[in-house]
Amino acid sequence: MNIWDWEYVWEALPYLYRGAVVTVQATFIGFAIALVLGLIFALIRQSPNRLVRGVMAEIIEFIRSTPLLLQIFFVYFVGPQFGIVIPAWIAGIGMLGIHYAAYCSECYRAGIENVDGGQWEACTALNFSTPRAWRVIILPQAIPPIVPSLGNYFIGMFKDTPILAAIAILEMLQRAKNFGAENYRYIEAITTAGALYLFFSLVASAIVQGVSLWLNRRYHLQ
Amino acid sequence: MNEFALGFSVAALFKGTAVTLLVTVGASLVAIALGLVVGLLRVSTVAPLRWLAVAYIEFFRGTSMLVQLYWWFFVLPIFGLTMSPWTVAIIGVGMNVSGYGAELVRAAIQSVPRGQYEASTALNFPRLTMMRRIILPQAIRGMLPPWGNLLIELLKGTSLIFFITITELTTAAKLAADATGNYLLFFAVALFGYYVIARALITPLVRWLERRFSRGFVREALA
Repeated sequence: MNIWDWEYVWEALPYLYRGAVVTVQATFIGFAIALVLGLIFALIRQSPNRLVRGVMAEIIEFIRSTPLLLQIFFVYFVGPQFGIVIPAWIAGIGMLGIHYAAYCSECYRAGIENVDGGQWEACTALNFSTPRAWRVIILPQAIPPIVPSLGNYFIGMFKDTPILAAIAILEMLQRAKNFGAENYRYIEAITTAGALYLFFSLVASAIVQGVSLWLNRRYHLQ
Repeated sequence: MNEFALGFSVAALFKGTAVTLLVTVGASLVAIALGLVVGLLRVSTVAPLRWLAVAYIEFFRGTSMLVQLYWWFFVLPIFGLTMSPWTVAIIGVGMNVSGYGAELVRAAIQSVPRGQYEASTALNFPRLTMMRRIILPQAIRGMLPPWGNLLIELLKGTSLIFFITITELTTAAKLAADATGNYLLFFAVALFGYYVIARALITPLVRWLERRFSRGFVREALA
């Protein structure tokens, strides 16, 4: 028996392809949730009310320091105990989004706090309402500089999708493992899956760099 | 839920916590040692050593931790290298994190002001002495806070050894919840377990190390 057999690589590819589609979908939907929810978390953290601010900070800290796997279990299994059945897809991708929203909100916070105080004063001087100041003045300056660090989480999230296998979502790695178990050829399947992760990570980091450049040019920064 | 099942599950949860702590400590030691070595190779003056370090870092950061664990656990035995799940857990998690750690070490070393290097050259220090006596003591202060975050990531990463048959905190909680049907209770307890380990053990430890390594520094000198 050969140690490495290309035959099995070709045979595993269609399996892995189906898994890769799920992985990419989960990453994109999850990241969309993380971006929107992260911004909401970050805005709540800027609330003038001390209590609201403190509670939000503690929630973010809690989400950030507990494992994603356990959080996904929590959402997926606790619901049915009270008669609420959440489909694996929604539980998995939703929790992936919420987990990374906590990380993204810290990025947003860094961006928001880096905006010069004078910008706020100028908004007050021009009699802008608070929502308008956020929308037109503050956020367009806060977000472009943090795109690279948000991008890191995009790639990190992509690499966390295999955790979804724990609640029976057939993503790429789970497909590879099943293929290995059926044919007793783990080497090709898992190594090819690993190579695909590396490939997608590199593509994703190229996308992030492109977006970052485009945003910086669009808003005339740097 | 009967008393017996509850007592049994609580005992299993305690054992799971101990396993999680053990793997966390073991993997942290691996991650710190390898991270330091690879980080130093990454700033070496010998180009091939630098390339080796870059390849190592890109490999371990570029692929998913779970893929790596599967590779250690399912693929290596085919080459005749069978390791116990414990070894896989400690080495697998540790090496994955060491890739990130090496980058922290590199960033901290490179953020030491240039003048320090020039002064060491002027004083005719060999490169090794310069690293040991001048650069690293300053770099360690800068790298400790991000290492704290990384160790919390490592703690969370140990939950993935669920997939390679070790009963740690997440697995113990899952088993206990499956046995008693009380998912809310056991998962909530496990979530708080991780939170407490992160906030009551790792964070204070790193804070203490920061204070320890800041001795002898003038307050404004590096701030």
